[in-house]
Amino acid sequence: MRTLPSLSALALLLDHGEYTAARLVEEIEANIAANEPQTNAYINLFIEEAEAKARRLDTEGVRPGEDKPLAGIPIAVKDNICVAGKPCTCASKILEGFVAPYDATVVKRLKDAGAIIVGKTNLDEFAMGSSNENSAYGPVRNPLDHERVAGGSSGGSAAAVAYGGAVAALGSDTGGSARQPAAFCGLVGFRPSYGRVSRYGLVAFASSLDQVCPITRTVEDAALVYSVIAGPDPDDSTTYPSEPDEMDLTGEIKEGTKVGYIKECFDDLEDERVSDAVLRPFKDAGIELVEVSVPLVKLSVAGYQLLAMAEASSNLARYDGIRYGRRIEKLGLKETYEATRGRGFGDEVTRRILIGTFGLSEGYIDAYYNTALRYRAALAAEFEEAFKKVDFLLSPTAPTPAFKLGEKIADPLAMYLSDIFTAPAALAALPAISIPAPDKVDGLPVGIQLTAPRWQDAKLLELAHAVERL
Amino acid sequence: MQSKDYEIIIGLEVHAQLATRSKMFCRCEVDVDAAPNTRVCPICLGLPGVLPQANDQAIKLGIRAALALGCTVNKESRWARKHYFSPDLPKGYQITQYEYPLAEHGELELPGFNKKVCIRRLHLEEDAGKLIHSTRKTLVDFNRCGVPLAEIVSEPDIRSVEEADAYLKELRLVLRALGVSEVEMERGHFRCEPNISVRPKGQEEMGARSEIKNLNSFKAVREGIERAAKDQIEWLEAGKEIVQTTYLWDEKLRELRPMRAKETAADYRYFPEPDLPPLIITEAEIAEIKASLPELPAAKRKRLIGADFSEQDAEVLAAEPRWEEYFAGLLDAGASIKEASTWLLNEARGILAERKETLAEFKVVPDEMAALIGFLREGKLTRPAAKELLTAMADKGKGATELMEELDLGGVSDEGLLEKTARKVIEENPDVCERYHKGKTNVIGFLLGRCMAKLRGKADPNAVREMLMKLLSEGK
Repeated sequence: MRTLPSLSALALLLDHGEYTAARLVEEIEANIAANEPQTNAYINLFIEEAEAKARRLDTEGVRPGEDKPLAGIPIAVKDNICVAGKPCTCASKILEGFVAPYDATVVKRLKDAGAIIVGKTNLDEFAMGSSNENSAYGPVRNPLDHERVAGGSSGGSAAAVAYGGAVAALGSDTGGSARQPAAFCGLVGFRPSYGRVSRYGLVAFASSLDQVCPITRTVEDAALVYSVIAGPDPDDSTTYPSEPDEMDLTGEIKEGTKVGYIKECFDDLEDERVSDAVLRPFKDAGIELVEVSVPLVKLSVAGYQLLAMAEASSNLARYDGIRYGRRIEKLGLKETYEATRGRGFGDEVTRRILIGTFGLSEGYIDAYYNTALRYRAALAAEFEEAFKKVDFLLSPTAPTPAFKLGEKIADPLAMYLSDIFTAPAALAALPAISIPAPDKVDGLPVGIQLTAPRWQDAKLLELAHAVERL
Repeated sequence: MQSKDYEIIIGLEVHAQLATRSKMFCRCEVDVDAAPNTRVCPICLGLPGVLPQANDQAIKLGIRAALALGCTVNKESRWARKHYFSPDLPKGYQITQYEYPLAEHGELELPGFNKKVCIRRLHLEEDAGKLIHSTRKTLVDFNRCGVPLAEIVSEPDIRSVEEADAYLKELRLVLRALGVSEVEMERGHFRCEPNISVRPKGQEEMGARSEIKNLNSFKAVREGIERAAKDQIEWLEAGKEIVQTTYLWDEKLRELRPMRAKETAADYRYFPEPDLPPLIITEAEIAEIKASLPELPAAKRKRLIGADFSEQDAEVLAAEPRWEEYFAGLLDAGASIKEASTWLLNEARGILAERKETLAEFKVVPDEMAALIGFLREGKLTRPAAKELLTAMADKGKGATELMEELDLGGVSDEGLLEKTARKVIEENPDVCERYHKGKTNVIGFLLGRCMAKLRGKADPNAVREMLMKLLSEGK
C-alpha cells in the first residue's frame, strides 16, 4: 500500500510549485483504484469533478496560502455530512435517492479554503456502530489488514486516509466514532470541544453529542483542517460565539505541563500490551504521569447509549418517506410509515430507535433518560475535579486494536463496550484526540487518547503535536 | 337533577399566530396563503442535517403578550421536542416549550363579568403544515410549517359559555392592541381548544375533561362547549362514567366527533431540544418591552367611561382600534365628544351594520364627517338632511360640501326666505292661526310641517318654529 505525505507537507509542495493539484488527484485516483475493491471506504466518488477542479486551480495558479490554506487538497467527507448536489445516504436504505440541496457549514468552509471534495465515505448507518459493519453499502475493511474492521462509525473516512484515497477526511464523533477508527487505522482523530465546530449539515444522530472531526495523518494536519472548519456559525445555535484560540505547534511539551492518566481506563484492560503501548512514549521521555481517578468513566457506555438512543429516536423520526428518500407505499398512512421505516432502517438503527423511544416514554423517562442526564452532569463534575489536578488526561483510545470482521457484530453489548474510553469526553463535551502510539500490538496500531478541559482545543493540539514526536 | 344543578368548568388553550415576518426557526417568509410549498427551505422542511435558529422577533412578541397579560416572564426558559407522526410535521416532532415555558401566572379581566381568569402559562412553538385532502389523495402544504405561535393556557376558571366568549374576545383585543397577532380567527391566526368538565354544584372534585379541537369561529366555540357540557350532564344523569376524551368539531354537521380517549392518549415523549440553547431573557429586555406596551383595552375602557362615555361607546372604542382612531380624527377636526359619538358610533355604525361592512371599507374620512357635523351645527343642514348626506357620502365617497350641493340638501338659513314662507303659510291657514291665538299653541306643529314641506325639509325646524312664533305674536 502506497501512502501519501501529510497534508502539511503536500501543502508546502503545492505552494512551492513542486507538485500540482492535478497530479495529486491523479495519485489519489490510483490509490482508490488499487484499494477500494478490498476496503469499500467510499459510497460515492466525484473523481471527474475533482480532476476538473484540480486543473482549474492549477491553471489559475491558486496555491495553499493564507486565503486558501487547503487549495488543491483532496478531502473525503463522511456520508452523513451534506455536500450540495450530492447524495447523502448515511449508509441507509431509507435515504435512497436523497440529494442534499445545501452544503454543510464545514463543507462550505472546506470549499472556501480551496479543498477538493473527492467523495463521500462509508459509515455505520446513521453513524451508529463501532465497526462500520452496519452499512447498507457493505462493511469497510481495514486497509492495514483486510480481515479486520476499520472501526466505526467513521470507518470509511479513516480507511480512505489510511490507504491514500484522500489527504484528509471529515468524520463525525458522537461517542468515539472518529477517534476509534483513527486509532484502528493508525491515524489522528480529533474531536473538538462540543460547540467548536458547526453541526449544520451533519445529519443528526445524537445532537447533544455529535461533532464533526478531522481524521488525518498528523496532528499538524488535524490542526490545519480544524482551524478551517471551527468557529461560530449563525446556522448552529449551539456553536461557541467566539473564534478558536491561536495555536503554536512547537513540538515541545511546555514546562510544567501536568498529564494524568485515568486510572479506571487502565485497570481492567484485557491486553496489557495496549497500556504499555500507550504509556511507553511518556516513560521513555521521562515524563511523569499523575494517577487520576474518574470513577464514573466505568459507566460511560450505559450513560452514553441511553442519551444517544433517546436523541436518535427523536432525530430519526423525520425519515417517514413523505418528502424524500425511499417510501414504501401501502394502503393507509400508518401502514406506509411502518413499511417505510421498518424496511428502510437496518437492525442496529431499529434497535436504537426502539430503546430510545422506550427511554423517553411516559413512566420510563425518569428511570432512563433523566437518570442518564444526571449521570452526565456527575461525570462532567468528576472531570472538572480531575482537571484541578492535571492539565490533560491520558488513556487508550480503545481497549483493543482493530478486531476482526464479524467478531462482535452479533453481540451488541460487546460492540458498545468498544466506546468505553471515548464516550466520556463526548458526554462531558471535552476535546479529545487520538494519536497513533509508536508501538504496535500484533502489528496493529494502538491509539493514545489525550483529553483536555472544554475549550482548550488549541492547547490539546499543541500537546498532542509534541507527544506525536516522542 | 337538572342542568342548572351542575357547574360547568372550562379551561381554554389559545394558539395565536405571531405577527412576524419570518418563521419561528428559519428565515422563510410567513405567507400561509402563498402558492403551496413556496415559502419553504431545508430547515422548515426538516431535511437531514438542518438545525433551528430561534426568531428573536417572535420571542419579543411573546414577551410582549406575556407582560400585557400580567405573566411573570421566566429569566430562563427552554425549548422542548414534542413527538408525533404526521405528514404535516416534517421533523416528526414539534419544537415547543414544556417544563420551562416563556411565561407563567398571568390573568385576564373579563369585561362585564367583574371577574379575572388566571392564565397558567404562555409559551412559544412552531406551527405544523396543512393537509389538503382530496378524494384520491392527500397533499401537504408546508407554507405554514414553522410559523410562530404563542400558546396561552388559562386555568379552569371559566364557568359559562358567555365567560368563555368574553375571555376569547378580550384576549383577542389585547393581542391585537399589542400588535402581537393579527388574531383573525377565520384565517387561523387565533385558534381555541377548550376543555370542559361538569360537576354537581357544591362538589369539590373535578370531573373528567372533554377537549375540543378544530373550532374555527366564536360561534363554533360556543356551540362546541355547549354541546360538550350538555352531553356530560346527560351522561352523569344517566349514571355513566365520563372518560377523558378529545373531540373534533365537525363544522359541517356542527357536532362533536370523538378523536381519542385517555387510554389511547398520545405519549409525546417530551425532552429538551438539544439543538437550541436555553432562552435567557434579561431584566433590561423585559423592562424595555414593558415600557413599550400600549394602553390595553381594559385601561382604555376605564378611561373612556371616566370621560363620560356611555359604557357601550367605551366598549366599541376600546374594542376597535380603528374606531378609536376615527373618533380621535373627528375630535381633532373640531367635533365635540357628543357630536362624534352620535355621528360615528350611532349613525355611521348603523350604516355600516346595515351594509355588513367594516370601518375600513367606510368611504367617509373623519375630516368630511366633521364638515357635515359643522354644517349641522351652523344650521346649514337639517338633521334628516344630514343623515341623507352621510348615506350619500358613504355611497359615493365624495366630500360633504360637494354632495350637499349636488343633492341640493343645503339648508335654508336665509332669514328672508324663512320669513316669506312662514308668512305664506300663516296667510293660507287663518283658521289654524286663530286656534293658536286662542291658546291651542300646539297647532304650531301643523304650521311648522307646512313650512318644512314648502322648504323641502331643508331648513332648521327650530329656526322655522321661532320665525312662526315671532310672526304669529306680531299678527295677534
